[in-house]
Amino acid sequence: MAFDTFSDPLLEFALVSSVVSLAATAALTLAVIAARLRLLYRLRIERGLTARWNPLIAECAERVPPTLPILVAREVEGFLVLWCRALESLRGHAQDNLRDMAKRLGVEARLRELLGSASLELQLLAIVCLGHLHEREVIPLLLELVREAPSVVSLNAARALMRIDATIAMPHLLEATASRQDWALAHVVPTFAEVDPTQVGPLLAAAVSTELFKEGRGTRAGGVARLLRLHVTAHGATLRPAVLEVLAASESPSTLVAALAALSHPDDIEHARRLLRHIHWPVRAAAAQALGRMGGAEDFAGLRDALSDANWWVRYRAAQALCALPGVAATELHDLARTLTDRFGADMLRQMLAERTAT
Amino acid sequence: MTWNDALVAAQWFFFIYFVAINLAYLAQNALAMLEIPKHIETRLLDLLPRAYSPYETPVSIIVPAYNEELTIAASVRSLLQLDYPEFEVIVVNDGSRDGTLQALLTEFGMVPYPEAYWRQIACAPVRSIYRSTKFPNLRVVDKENGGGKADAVNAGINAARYPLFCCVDADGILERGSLRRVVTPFLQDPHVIASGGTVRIANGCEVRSGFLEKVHLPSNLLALCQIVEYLRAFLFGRLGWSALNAVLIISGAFGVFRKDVVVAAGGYRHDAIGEDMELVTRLHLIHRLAGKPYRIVFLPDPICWTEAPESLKVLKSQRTRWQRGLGQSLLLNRALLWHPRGGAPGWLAFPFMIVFEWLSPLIEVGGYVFMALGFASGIISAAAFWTFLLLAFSLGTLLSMSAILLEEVSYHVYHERGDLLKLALVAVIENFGYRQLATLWRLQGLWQWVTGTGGGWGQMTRIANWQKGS
Repeated sequence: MAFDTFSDPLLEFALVSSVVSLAATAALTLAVIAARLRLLYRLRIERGLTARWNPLIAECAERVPPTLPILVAREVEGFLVLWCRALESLRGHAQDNLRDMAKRLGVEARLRELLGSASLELQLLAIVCLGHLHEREVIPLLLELVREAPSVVSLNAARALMRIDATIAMPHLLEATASRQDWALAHVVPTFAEVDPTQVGPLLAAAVSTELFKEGRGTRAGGVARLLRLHVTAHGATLRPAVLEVLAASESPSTLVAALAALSHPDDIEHARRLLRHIHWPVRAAAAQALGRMGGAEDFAGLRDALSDANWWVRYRAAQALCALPGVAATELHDLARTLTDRFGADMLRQMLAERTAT
Repeated sequence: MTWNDALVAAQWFFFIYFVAINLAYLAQNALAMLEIPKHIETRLLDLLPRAYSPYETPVSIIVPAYNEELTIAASVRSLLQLDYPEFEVIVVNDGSRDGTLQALLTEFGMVPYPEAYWRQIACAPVRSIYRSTKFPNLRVVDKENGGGKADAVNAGINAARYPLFCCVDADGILERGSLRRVVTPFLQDPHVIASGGTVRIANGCEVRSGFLEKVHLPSNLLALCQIVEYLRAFLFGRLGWSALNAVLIISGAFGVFRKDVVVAAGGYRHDAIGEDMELVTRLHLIHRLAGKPYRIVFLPDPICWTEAPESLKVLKSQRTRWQRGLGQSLLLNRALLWHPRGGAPGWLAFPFMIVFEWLSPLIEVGGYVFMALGFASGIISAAAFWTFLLLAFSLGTLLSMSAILLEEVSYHVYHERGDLLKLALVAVIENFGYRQLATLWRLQGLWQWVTGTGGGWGQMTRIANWQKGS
């Protein structure tokens, strides 16, 4: 019978397991204590570092003093965080002064070491700092990271590259934006937004045309739509020919939606009018939005018809557009809401009129 | 088979189950240890200023509310202050019998609004929709009681206008960056369909204007036990499964979903008790069977804090409901179990849930009773009895301590003097009564599920001490 004496193998196993578990628990307790002590030590270092370097960073933003204290190895990481925060919240001469300060402290060599660090956190910090320092020597490395590194590293490399030399960076970054699905546009847009929109426009237009050609040949899909979404960072007039080219040539709904969002010249409104009858509802909704942005009283009839669309979003965008049309009086819209035979369209227009009144 | 053979077989059964369950938890722990560095290695960059772009996916925050008169205004105020570029807040008053609706109407200057309500998912009739005159991104959907939280959330999804929706409990306490953190996986991977984070216990904490200001441990022992329990459940439980894309639960207290995916799946089930788990398990099932690429992500970041029950009665009600919900979710989505396309959710997480979560109270209580009766009748020797109690205690403490270590090396939320000592003591004390009580309640929940008793909105008696200071 099992379990009746300590000589039972099962019981022996249970006893040994208990002892091992207790020993492991004791070891974990020590590890917890060690982790806490390490944390307290790090916090003390950080407090000291902040007290020592923050006033100096503030002073350097104004004017770099002739002599600077030595940056000891254990303070480098913390200093770089403080330095980056200051640099990213300042503009103009202050940024130049802070770059000068970092160079005089000799952080460049240390940053190159950190680039090869096993810690991703330190690698990323090094990439960000090298970008701020406008270190041209790391351009080839950053280009390689943009192409091949995982998204978090490549996106930070892209931003650093753009800060160092936008002219060199942009063609590479546009190519990566078109091809890398893992690049969230929410992260790409701020990178392009740091550059003059007139500089972005022509390069973006060229990239869109190239990508449209590739899509036409079936070598890649989705790139045009991704690129067109960068229109918010580009000067509209320079991008216009590419947008028109896309609207004339593309049949992809997502590409057409992106092109309609990039449409900005009133002379191009015909495209939006045409696409208001497109077979795919996202395109119709985007066309209604474009008409709300650029249309006039002559679009009233088209948008009124769109209020009876089978899709809720098309009706919503059409109602929004109707309320935004110049030269259409509120009484006219109220009359339309009263007389519209389509119940869903009338409901939507009433909602939009109430929204307009509230705001 | 003789009595003796049967007894030996029973001993082996309980012993093997006991070893297996602890090995499974230790394996989860090891996975979590490997996974957590991925979540904390980019933290340094979070310290730098962040630029927003127009392509941060906008989010509809849905707050289902039933009899939340005391806390709803503060909760909504905090939600309106979240650090996120574009979001709307939709409070769904699910036929509350107290002054929840009036509190909202008065506090936020709500006016009736003729919304063209799009009923994409079935839900109880909507009485009226209100729009705030003070906050353009706040609406209230007043509906008839649909018998549960699921129905209220469905009504909110119908009113939502953005591609992502975030379901938040009316009593949830957030941090300003909570939404940004939980939406991040959607920006990084187009295949992400749901994301959730760690829920922590807010009892004892300082809360101002609905936001967590300072973390303190509570003085109530029951709440302290739940803190250690939540660390175990979230930090290594869900994080371990996340590494395998096999998370079967995104907490209903704070989770973000892609709206089109949830609408296509038919929304939350009206009759679901554990509607959060049921939906996530169903999403796995739908995507796995269709062979569609998808990811359901769990973030270990502490993004939502919630009030834990401080009385045995309320805690018991919560735990029995959770167990009923677990059984129902598993039964409704049983097609996932060992399905050829089931992957890690069907072949690992689902069987794990059945054996080590759903059936565990039955087997654990059976084991306790067997040991106690065996000891009393002399079948089991004193040495064996005490050795196995020691093993149960030591493994229980080991698992809790490893969760505390994970917490300390990652987020170290509890950093006041003495906090670690308190947590370590609780990791020991909880083995003497709390765990057994929780197991008994879960067994009761299992019984209720089998007999079909219980249901409806979970009634939680709010103390909300922090509201007094805000």
